[in-house]
Amino acid sequence: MSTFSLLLLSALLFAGGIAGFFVRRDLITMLLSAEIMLAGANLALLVFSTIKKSIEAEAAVLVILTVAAAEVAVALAAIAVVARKKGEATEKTVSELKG
Amino acid sequence: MWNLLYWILFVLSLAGLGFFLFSKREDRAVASLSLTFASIGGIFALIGHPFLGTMMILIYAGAVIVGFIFVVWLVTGRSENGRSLTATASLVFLAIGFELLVLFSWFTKPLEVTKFSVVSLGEFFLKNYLYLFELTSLIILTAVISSLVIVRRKK
Repeated sequence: MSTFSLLLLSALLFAGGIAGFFVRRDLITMLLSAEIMLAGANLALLVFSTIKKSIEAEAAVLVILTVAAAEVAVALAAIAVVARKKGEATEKTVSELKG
Repeated sequence: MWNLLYWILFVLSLAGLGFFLFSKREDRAVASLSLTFASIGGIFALIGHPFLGTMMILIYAGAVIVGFIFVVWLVTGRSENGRSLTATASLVFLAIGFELLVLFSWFTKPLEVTKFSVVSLGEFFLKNYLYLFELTSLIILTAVISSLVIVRRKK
């Protein structure tokens, strides 16, 4: 369990999130890809927190987890409404929305 | 033994991510991420953050993924299946991974694990960042109310 392998995993998760976000076109997958990126960033933060033996990063990760869960709740509600109104929830249907 | 467990979790998290990226069925892709988030939670615990590891498994692998699966079942009945990654995108993914591997390659020391307790985290929040801590509860309350308002049908 080396610092290198942990940071590598964090980078791979972030890269996977970026790839999913830009390649897939449905909103659910794009949102989940953003969550994967967040998980990768959280892992890196915690690794550095362990190296520095400081608790600040752990507190920051806890706040990030909370805010991300709240964000998911709102985004899922919005996706459900878009799907109900337009029949599908893709990037294209959202760009067609007005007011 | 912990090293072996770490490598198992490492492989499982990447396997879940790979299945998510390459699967064509959305519900299976989302369910596979449960594996990734649970493995990351395990790794959090292994590097000395057991409380955050538990939270990661409870919130992400539990609540968030279940919510996503319900929405996928609600939506995919009427929408087309998501596209899988193209060969070009896979190459870009590999290239970014390789570049980051080179970038971080100077880190080779084994990690010295220090355990952080829930008590120290609680003291840190309640002594230094009490208002921030209270603000997160307000954010959650706002999110719950706004999501209920968004999904309510207009008569």
